[in-house]
Amino acid sequence: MAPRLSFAVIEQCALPANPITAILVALLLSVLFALSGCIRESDITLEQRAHQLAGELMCPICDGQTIDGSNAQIAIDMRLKVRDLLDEGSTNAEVKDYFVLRYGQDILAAPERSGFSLLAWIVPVFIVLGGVVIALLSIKSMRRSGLEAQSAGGTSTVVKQKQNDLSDYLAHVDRDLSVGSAIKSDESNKSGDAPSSEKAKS
Amino acid sequence: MADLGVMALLLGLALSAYSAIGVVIGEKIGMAALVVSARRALYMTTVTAIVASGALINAFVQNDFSIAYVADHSNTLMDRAFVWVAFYAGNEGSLLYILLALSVISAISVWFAPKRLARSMPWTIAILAIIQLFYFGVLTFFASPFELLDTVPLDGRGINPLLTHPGMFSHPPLLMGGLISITIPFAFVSGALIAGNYGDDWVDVARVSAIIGWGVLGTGMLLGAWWAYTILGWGGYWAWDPIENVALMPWLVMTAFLHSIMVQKRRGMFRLWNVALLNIAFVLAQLGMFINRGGPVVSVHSFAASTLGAIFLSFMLASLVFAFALFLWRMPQLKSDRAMESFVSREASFLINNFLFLAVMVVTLWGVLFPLFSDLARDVSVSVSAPYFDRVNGPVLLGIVVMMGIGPLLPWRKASARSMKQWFVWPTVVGMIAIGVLIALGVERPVAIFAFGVVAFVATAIGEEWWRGTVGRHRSGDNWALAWWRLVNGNRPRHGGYIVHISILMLALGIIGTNFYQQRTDGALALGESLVIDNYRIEYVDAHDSSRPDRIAQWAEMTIYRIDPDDYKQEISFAKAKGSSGFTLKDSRIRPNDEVIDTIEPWHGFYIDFNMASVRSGISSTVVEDLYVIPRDFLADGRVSLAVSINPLAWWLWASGPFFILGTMVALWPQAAVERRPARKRLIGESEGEI
Amino acid sequence: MPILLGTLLALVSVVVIVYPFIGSKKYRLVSDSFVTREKLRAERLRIYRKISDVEADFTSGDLTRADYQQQRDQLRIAAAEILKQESGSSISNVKRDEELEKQISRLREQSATSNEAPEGGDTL
Repeated sequence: MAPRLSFAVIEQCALPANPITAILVALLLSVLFALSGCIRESDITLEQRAHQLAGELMCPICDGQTIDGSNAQIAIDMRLKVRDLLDEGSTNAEVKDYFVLRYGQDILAAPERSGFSLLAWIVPVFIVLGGVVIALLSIKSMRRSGLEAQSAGGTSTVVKQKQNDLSDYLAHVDRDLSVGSAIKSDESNKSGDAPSSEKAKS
Repeated sequence: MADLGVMALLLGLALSAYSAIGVVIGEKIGMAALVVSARRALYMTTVTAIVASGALINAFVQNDFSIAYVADHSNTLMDRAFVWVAFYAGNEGSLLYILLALSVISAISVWFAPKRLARSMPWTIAILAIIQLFYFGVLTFFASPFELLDTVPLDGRGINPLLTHPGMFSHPPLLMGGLISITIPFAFVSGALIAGNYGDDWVDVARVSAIIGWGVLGTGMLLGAWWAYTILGWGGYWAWDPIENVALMPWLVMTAFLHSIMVQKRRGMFRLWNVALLNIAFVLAQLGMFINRGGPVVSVHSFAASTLGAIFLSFMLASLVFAFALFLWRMPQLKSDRAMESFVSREASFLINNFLFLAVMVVTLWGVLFPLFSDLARDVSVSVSAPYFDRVNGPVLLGIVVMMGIGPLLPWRKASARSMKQWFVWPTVVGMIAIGVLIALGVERPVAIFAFGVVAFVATAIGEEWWRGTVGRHRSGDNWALAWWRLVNGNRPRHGGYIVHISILMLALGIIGTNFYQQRTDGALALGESLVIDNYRIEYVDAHDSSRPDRIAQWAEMTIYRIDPDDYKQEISFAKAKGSSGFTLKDSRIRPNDEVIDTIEPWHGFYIDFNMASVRSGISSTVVEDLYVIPRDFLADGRVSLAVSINPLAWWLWASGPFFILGTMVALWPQAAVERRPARKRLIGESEGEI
Repeated sequence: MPILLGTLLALVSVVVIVYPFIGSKKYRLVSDSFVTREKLRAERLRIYRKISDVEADFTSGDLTRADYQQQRDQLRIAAAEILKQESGSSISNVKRDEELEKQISRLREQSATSNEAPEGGDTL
């Protein structure tokens, strides 16, 4: 089921009527994916589960480390306890509750998804969605002001007129440009009636 | 030497104060000599910072334990090579190092500042001088590295054992230097805004100095990750630790800036936005300095904990107010030349990418601050660590990678439907094939498979970009190699950027592999025993003592075999029944298909004075996966306790580094000016001797 | 010894910051016309860069020929207009500055010549 979904995402990005929508869809889907907890596999070993849990429990005496990464004695003991609890058939939630009961909320490496701590999880969703919405709105407003400005732009006769006025300077510009230009002279010579760059050296 | 250091710092304090005041007054009253004098004072602060640093380093070299900082961070046993590390191993020294870096890059950037910025340079100099003044002040009054001890100890305490690693020669200085270097583009932009220079004159200076700082900071973070992976024995490389986060946040904002500045360069848009990004990055860098110096959150990096929190908090708030006020004051003048023409354009995709980077930054900030928030709001302390950040930032980071494939394929201004289809077909097809192949191979974890598909999509997009550009040039007559070279050379910022994108893809491969497919097992081995995990067998061959007076240390010699699981059917099924991922073999009998592939030498040391253990992991690395062995401890009964993991694709994490640096250099390399000076002189008759 | 070195450093600093006031070289703030000219030149170079970017986009197939020609011509005209301004400001200023130089050489006490010339190219 899930892999098929990801195909759909790719197709959306592929031939988009509007790639921005596709991006949004892809983003939303990836958020859903991540939140759907599809990492849990049935054939995962108890040991893998123990490691995973150890990565979600903080070491009470080390600054900012989980018990998975710490070599402190208490971390070693806690890792053993996690394994024992799993061997006895506890679920992941039960193991976490066991430690929360003894060490308090801050033993969990990530806040709970309930009560006040739910804020920690919800706010990022709003930040991301808000950011994308602001980006789209600002593009839209920049676009509107742009179209107005564009209509006031010069027509081709004005351009021609200017070209005549500035012909000396244009020739100079073209000389300057021919130094750095990587384009072959026959290509750029086709561009309109403007005096064009002669390649000085080949 | 302490006297010299103190004098140099005092002198620097006076000089930077004089420079800040003098340059502004000189400009205001039109007194050129004062401006020149004040600017030279800024150069002199660099000299004083160098002298002060030299004094401290000299004190380390001479083992001058009358200085408290030297006594605290070195001893006679310390290898002299680590003097450089000891210099910034503690709080005072690292502040002096930061000042040194700041003053040197300030002097260089002021020296090379283009003349068109002459009107705004006084303000830029004043800002740089004020920031230096702050550091000179802190070093003089609150955290002097030259504090003397009443009684001179016979020997020092020694350097923090975790720092005695080659990575420490470069990781901390790059990180601190990168953070402080954000000051430079900020000073240039602020100077230009104060002086009323609203055009694009500051863009090149800001971009170049920002790329340098960004590259240095990025390299520093990558080296830090590598250091953590090989030495700290966390088994990881990125822990979303508060100190890591405060370095990452400004880096993310700078990344956004480096993208949107391209839009300003090319299309004259996003002026306001770019100024805002630099301001945010600068304030975040100050936040980083604050959290590093005894801020309110705990971290594994608290090597340099101190009580300077309040001072740095004030300075951060001051810079926040300054940046914000300046921004509001000059906001009306910062208009875009042109407007967005379409949602489907490169500039639009850059804007989306910018907001995604900012989203990751804000979410990370939220995670860093949430524990404080929770404490204040309801008096319950919570932890916010890696599992949280992985979950909330992972999807957005993947979104950024997706944008990395889409953005470069979109042309400037607007895309026509025809070119869209043409450009997106190949990347999409390759991405889908990658996903299909992975599914066919029976790879698990849909999220990771999707992420691999995205990586393939982006890689193909970059390849296509190069392919088409090269073909276009090849058609006009160049041979293939020259055509590609001309393509890259013709727009170095863009193609350097693509090389950086490739390094990010490599990083992504490593992150996906290690996060989703890591296998782990723990075990304790006596001599001659083996630990088996997946298709590896790790045999404990010999133990060696490498103790020194300050540490109890041992290393184990281990042979790695690649095995055929069929030879071990019985043991594997037994281990599975027990719920273990690996198992221990008591005998050292070699089975038919065992094949020696490597030997590793994991090392474990316990530093008595510091009551601290340090390890070197044994890593057997291939492009596909690392076998990673952390010696947790050498037990009293002669066994060694091991944490073993298989880290798929971890090699790519470190392989990305050179590409990151290469890409940054390419993007940075100055483009040859497209101008023939002699001809121009003749035309407009510029006189040679003027100014 | 350290005290001596420190004193020496202080002396050097004082000399360095006092020298601009007492030295034989007199300084003048960079003139507005010079800054303007530098700015114009920089802007023209930026336009040149944009033109070469547009050319690269065209070669890579990002731009249709019509778009390419239109954008390139617009940019060339913009560059030419700046060039015109540059030569205008330059010529008038050169004359004015020459007048100034003569005056200054008459009143030798007053500030003459340049801001420090060697400082800074435009490489950054």
